Amino acid sequence: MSLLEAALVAFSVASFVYFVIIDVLYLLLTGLAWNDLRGTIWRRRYLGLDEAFASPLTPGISVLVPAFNEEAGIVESVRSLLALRYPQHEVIVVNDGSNDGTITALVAAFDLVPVRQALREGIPTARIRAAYASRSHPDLLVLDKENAGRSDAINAGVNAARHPYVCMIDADSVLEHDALLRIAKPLLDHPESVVAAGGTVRVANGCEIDHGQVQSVRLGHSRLATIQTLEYIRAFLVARVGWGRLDALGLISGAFGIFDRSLLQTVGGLWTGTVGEDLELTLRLHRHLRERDEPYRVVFVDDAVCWTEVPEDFATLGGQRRRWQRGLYEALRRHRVMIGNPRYGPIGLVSAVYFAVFEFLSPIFALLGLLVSVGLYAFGSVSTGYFVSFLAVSIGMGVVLSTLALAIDQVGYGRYERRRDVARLLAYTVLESVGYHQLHNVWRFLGYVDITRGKTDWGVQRRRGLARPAPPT
Amino acid sequence: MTLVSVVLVLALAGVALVLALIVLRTWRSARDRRLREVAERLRPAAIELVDTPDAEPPVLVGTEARVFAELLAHYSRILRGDDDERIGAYFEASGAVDQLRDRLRSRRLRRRVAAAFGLGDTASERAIPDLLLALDDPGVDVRAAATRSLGRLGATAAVEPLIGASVAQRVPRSVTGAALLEIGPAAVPHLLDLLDHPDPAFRVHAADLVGLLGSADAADVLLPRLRDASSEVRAAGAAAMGRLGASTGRDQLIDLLEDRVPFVRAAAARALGQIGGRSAAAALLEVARHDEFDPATEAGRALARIDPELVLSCAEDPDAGPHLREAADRLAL
Amino acid sequence: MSADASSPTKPVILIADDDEDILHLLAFRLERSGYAVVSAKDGEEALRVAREHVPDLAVLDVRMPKLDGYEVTRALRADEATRRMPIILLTAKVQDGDVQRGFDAGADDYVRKPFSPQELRARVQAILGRR
Repeated sequence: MSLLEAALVAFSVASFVYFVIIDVLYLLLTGLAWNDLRGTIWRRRYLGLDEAFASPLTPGISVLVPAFNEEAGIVESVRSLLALRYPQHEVIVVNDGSNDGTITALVAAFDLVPVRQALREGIPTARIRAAYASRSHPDLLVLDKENAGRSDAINAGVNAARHPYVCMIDADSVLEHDALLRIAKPLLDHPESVVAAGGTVRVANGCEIDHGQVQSVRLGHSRLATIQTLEYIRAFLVARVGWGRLDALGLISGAFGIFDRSLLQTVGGLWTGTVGEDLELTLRLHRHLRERDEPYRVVFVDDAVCWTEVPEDFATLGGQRRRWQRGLYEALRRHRVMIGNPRYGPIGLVSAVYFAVFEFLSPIFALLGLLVSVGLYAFGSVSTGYFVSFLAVSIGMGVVLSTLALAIDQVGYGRYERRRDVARLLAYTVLESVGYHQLHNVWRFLGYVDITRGKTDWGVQRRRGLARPAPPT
Repeated sequence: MTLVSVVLVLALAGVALVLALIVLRTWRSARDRRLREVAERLRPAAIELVDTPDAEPPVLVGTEARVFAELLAHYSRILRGDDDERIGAYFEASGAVDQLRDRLRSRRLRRRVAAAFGLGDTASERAIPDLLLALDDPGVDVRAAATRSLGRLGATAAVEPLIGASVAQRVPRSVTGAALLEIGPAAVPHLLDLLDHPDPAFRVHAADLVGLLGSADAADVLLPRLRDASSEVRAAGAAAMGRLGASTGRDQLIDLLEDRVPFVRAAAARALGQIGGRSAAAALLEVARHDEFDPATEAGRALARIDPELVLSCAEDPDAGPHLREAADRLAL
Repeated sequence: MSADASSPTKPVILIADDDEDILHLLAFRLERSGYAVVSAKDGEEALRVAREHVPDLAVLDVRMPKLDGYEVTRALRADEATRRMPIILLTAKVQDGDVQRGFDAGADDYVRKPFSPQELRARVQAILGRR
């Protein structure tokens, strides 16, 4: 056996171990999610949401909607946000220098008039060109800002927000009618400790959407969207729930989360220099509070649901995943001190390590490891038994974990009512594990290229798909 | 090879599980559809019972009885007055109230929670003593459900125990607060006592509730809280004064516009806007022009309520500042 | 859902609420008191039914899917045919500004949930008697 061959075999074994660890980790998260579901599913009836809705003690939330060229859907979307079941909320649309009729559509629909709105100078942002208040809707504010990206738009919204909590979403996010009330429930119950909460993001492609509400849940025809549906189910209903149970929620998705406004202002809002702004912010909040030894909690609320459109073509999806990889790198680089550092509790010891090893380095172990093992087997350097075992832990377990996630979704959430949709999702667990995961890792690998080239442009699609799911194994 | 078989078995088990769940799901939706049909069929009888004095309740068993009870519970949640009393009488006569009271003593947490919650929708006063006992249940879900139910029943006897449970942190303040608000002004005397609690968080809570439930004479008891050592309490006291619309506090609130903590100044400004009276205008104008964001914004808005003309005339001054201009523009909406 | 709205002598009342149990109860109550009732399950349907039947009074839930009660009120006020139609809002909220907001939108009265149907009927009679 040559030295090279020995090295390759060693690498293959390392990648084998890598897969075993992540399989075990995911089985653990699945177990935690099952367990959590057992405890929460029957309690949902007794949450007292009606009482929270009727209570004037429920704190106000400012819903921030960054909008870039959203002329087509913005009016419906804002109307539906204004009608959400929540006792006290305002909607702040921040037009991020759109070059379509976003502002015109809003002005016409909501009877907007320019006002000289006073804004906090807290977080620096691009120039606000104008502000509009609505004659018909006292809880609507529209800011018209020069184009500087989604994060900058959200920061401007934070500066204008009147309520003690802000909710970040995308302009094309569709919140379920009581999503805001549900996501706010932990902070009603524990106002002293909860500083941020994330909700579940689901794939809206194929669903029938009317008046800014999902009327009927369906799978679309797109294969890629169906695979992402599975991916999101696993990322949110298994991984996030599990991480939440471990008190190690390292990421609140930019597509749907609420934050304590004054804390956001203290830490300076979203970092506009990264494409991984949601991860970076979540890590920064943890870091800030841990370093000050303040008691706090960041929670995940599984039954607060937001629906979002995901890319249906390879180019867009690939671009999105490359960007996520770069964002992951930027966030981790800024907070590298947290990785594996016990000072930061479960976030440092578990989540940050997980992000670094099992997300950022996944192309190396998961993709390269698989390729090397296939090659070694082809040249007869490893036994059939080893190779089949390798496939079992790398690909077989992917099917197992997605199937279990689908079962959790069926038991606890059951948004998909049609038998054939569920059956289709079940069949797609194979396609997800054989093909999609590998492709995903190719995109992540290309992300390395972007990082080394120091790419700083935002990409045309930057406002799409901020609902970052955890990576597949 | 054992590893391979383990993975294989897991995968097959997973697939079988999902398939079983699909079947279960189909069965469940068929059952739900049947239940909806039953509800549809029973609704006229439920309305008749709710609506008519001395209506003869239908004799039902099994599923039908359960669906009928759920319908009535729903009506109990949205109705009050005579109709609600008739619902209570039905639940007492049908034995549902006693059954739920028994279940409050079940060993299973789930049953106790369901019972504590369900009793709130029976509109029966007979449930109150048992619900009060349930406030000491070892399960926080039971305590919260009992709290909610005591609020639903408007149990004035529950005021003191509820405040006790809240102070002992046995039930979240948001839940006891909502229940006390449902019970109404009867809670005020006890809440006034809570204004002197050593923990500022509870003084804040008491002030919030007094502001929502109290009448103008509660303002005198609130006055000392405007000088409280805790800034949160001062702000909550000011907000409560504003909600009560009590002009007795005006001078002190004007003083509070110079508090060293910005959110206290903001609360004072907002309260002055709610109370009204032009004597506050000069001080508010000063805050709106020169203070930092939150107090200045509130002062601008308050001023717009008290004296719109003044805002409109001052807004174009060179030193008006952004807040008066905003207030003026919003007046024109 | 639509009840007998054809009789010219009975005043017609529109009830809009997304809770079917409430719709049925109120319809029963009001019909028994001698009114004809038309109903709607969401704001958009309410608007459509109001334009079609031009009822003598509307009872609107504030929180409805598609269009909320304030918006329906505002739309009815903007329409020549329904401009003077009396409107009672049903509200579950107890926030400071909500009642004011209802009046600003053009509502004539409001009833807070949980409500007593007798009280609602009394308000209806008071408004229709006044005219």
